[in-house]
Amino acid sequence: MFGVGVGLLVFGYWRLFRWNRERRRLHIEELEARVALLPLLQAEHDRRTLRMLRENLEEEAVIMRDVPDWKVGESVFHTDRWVSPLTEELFNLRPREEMLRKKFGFLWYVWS
Amino acid sequence: MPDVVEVPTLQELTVEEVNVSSAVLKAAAHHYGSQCDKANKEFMLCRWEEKDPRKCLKEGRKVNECALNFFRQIKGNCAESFTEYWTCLDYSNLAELRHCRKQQKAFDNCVLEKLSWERPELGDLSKVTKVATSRPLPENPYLSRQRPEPNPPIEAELQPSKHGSRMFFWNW
Repeated sequence: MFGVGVGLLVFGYWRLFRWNRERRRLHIEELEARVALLPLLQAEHDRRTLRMLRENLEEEAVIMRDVPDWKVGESVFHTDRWVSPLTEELFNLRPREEMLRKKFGFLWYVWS
Repeated sequence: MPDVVEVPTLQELTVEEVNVSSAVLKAAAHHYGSQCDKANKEFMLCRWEEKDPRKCLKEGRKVNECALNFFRQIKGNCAESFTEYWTCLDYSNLAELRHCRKQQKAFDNCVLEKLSWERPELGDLSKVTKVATSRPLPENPYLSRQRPEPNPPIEAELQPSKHGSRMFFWNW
């Protein structure tokens, strides 16, 4: 009887390992779908940030046109390289819900 | 002194967008990965080497064109089976591919007959590839300062250390 129990256990483990391998394969397939779509998503995201930066620049030119000694679109850093803009910077002139949605709309983690 | 950050104009940024929802993209993802491979890899290479999205707008445009061509080809040839496949994916929770195997097989067969596209095997899309571009490698993309000079090479005769290695007890 003990042998039967142990046999059942081992059989259960073997089934578990096989199913886990199958789940790993399925997960890899879904990750590959994401890998294949990344360039499209990255290009769209880049265009979107650049478009928002452009609109912000034009708004800034309109808003600060009477302030003396203000260079429109001046960089706040000393370097010349591309610095990814912050969400607050991008969504500055838009309603607050949009910024909150971008920041907290999609979360990778689940704890609060 | 900080300069003006150059942002491309709206006219340079307008590109014909792929107006398609997420389930459609996921359904066609594997075939898209094998068909539009060249444009995608060039764009990613450009993005990762230059580290600047403003310099990769041209490649991004090509990515969009390739994607639009791809979807036009599917719509022209295999529209019904593709629609069934992506509606099935849309219906399932989390758009899991394993719930829609039947429709996937039908779509794959249709595409194989009419366009002779093969679905890539598991692991093919994650393989590391070499990309050939005409764009030169950018030197110093981070615009860093000049690095200090490397140490001069040691000129004397090197002997093994006396009494054995000093790191005898710390060799992990």
